Amino acid sequence: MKFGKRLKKQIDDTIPEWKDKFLSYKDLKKLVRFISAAHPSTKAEAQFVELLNSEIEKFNSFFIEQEEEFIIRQRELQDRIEKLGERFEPSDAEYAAEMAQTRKDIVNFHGEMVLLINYSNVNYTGLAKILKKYDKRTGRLLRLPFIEIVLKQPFFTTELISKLVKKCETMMDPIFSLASAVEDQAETKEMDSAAIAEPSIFKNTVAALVTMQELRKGSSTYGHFSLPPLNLPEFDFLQSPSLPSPIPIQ
Amino acid sequence: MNSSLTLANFLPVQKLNMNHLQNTQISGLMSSPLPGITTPVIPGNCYSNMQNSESTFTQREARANSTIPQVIPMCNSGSLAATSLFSSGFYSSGYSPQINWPGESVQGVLGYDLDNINSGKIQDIMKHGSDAVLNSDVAGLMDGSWRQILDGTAVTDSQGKVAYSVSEEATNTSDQNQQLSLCHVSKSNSNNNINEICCAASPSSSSNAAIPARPPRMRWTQELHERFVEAVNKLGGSEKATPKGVLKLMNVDGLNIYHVKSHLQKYRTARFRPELSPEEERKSARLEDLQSLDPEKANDINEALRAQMEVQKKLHEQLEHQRKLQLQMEEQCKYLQMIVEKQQQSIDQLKLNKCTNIKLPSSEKLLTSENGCDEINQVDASEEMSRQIGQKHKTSESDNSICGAFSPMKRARGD
Repeated sequence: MKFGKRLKKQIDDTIPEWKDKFLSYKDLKKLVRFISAAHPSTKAEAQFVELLNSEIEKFNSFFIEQEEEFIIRQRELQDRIEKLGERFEPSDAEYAAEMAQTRKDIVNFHGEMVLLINYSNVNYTGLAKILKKYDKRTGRLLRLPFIEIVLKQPFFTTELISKLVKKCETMMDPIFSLASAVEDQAETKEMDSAAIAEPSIFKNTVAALVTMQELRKGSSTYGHFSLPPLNLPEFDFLQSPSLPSPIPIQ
Repeated sequence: MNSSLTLANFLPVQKLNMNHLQNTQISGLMSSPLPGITTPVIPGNCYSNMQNSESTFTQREARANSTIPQVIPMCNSGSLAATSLFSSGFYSSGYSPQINWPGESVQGVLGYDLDNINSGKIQDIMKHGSDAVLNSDVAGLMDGSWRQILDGTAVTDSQGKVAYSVSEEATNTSDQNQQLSLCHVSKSNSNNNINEICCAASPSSSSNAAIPARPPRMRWTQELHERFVEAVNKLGGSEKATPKGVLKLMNVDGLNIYHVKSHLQKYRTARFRPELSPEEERKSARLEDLQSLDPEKANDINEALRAQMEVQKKLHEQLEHQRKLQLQMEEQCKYLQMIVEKQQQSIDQLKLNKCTNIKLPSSEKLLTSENGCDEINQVDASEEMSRQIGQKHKTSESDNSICGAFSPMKRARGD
């Protein structure tokens, strides 16, 4: 149930438009429990597989749509940044505002893409768990062949998005370095990040990290084939049970 | 839990999704129907615990009664895992294996006799899961030496590597099979002409498939988008450009007007009406705040953004890492599966050659763990069997005693 709870938390914190695109983990779990352990019928398996298929279809459609949009947006951002210098003088007030907006946009864009990769991962993990439960319940060997297929699905092949994320990071350097001169003199204080960063992106990102840490901490089924524990010492604040939206900057 | 919950409760979801699929077929976002794809070839033993004729009947019955395509994996005990169906460009989504129950029984399909000696024990193990492994006397042989074996053979077929790295520029052809040749649209092709988006060819071995394959879906890449933008600019910009014109200029095989149309729409939205995207709506509300900020507050914002970036970067890093691990794990499972199959085959071979003097293949190192892959259990079973056979074989010389070796086997099955 741990994964189920974590998944639910992530769905709650996620970008609103994404909420219904995640794995219906709870329903699938119910279905598996319902399938008779003593007489696993091939019909039941067929229907189970069909359900899984439609879930995968859901992931794929959503993922590909998002990917397409990200490709477009990335290029647009790039153009925008390139033209920023051309449009305004650095001393312009408008330039500063435009710059600020661009910075925010880039960071949020980066965040969204990372969240899409997280989306992919979370759904994959859920599928793997469901399949494991199914095999355990029915004594069948559905998991391995099925997961092989899943590995090749578009929603799991996230290389392009990763590439875009890295590209985004390099795009960001010039944008942020321009601000550094002024920053050195400023005091740091707590801020209301809700007014600055996109709350759902930030919340979802944090929830994702916490989930990963939790899931890999060790469980009753921990063994040779489980992922090693995830250590994020520099993010100790993630451990607090109720995560406030602003981050205290050290 | 509702005691009257039936599978039927889940079916409406299924039907819904089927309708969705049918609609998307019509919507034109998909390309025109292509020849059936699929048949992932699945490693064997999927149905080794199935009863023969009963299942065949159920299959046919289910197929006849339901409008929902039946999706039963076609087991092929000889081959390795599923082919690389997917790469950039077109693909066939989902797990759409074929029904392959012609008149023949399961025996014929799976390639070996289900009534063989180890089926009983294997069934037990598969029913009771890894507990059976732990309880059996082979469990104690679990040790770290399996790592050595696994390190040397990270990928048992080159297919695997190709399948995982989708964004490779090279053409992704799967030599292992018969079925598919997906090409990747790549600007790096020195060929100036047409970069193709190929479609998957229909599988040869499953032309009797009853399942219509889902139509392949278009997957955009950066290179394709570059081409698109070039074409649009040549035509005077996103407002002036028409889908037809862009399609022609892009000159990419397999791309159709619906793809271009929807992409153009997205493009226009991204360029000129960013506030329409829900994300942007929220942002624009804060633009006023940003514009009136003094430098100090601006720095605070930058700090917050940096912090957000740190968290995001960290998540990305961890996701990449986790993904690698997951892929590795599945590779290992696949490898173990292969070992199990080999064991099965050698036991089979032994059976067939029971009247000839055949040496038993040396036992592989046992690969078990408390909760590893399901197939590990089968390794134990067949290990057990082959060791017993081996012992009997060594101590006897005549045909009688070799054949007699199987009586202890039969007794063991009764355990």
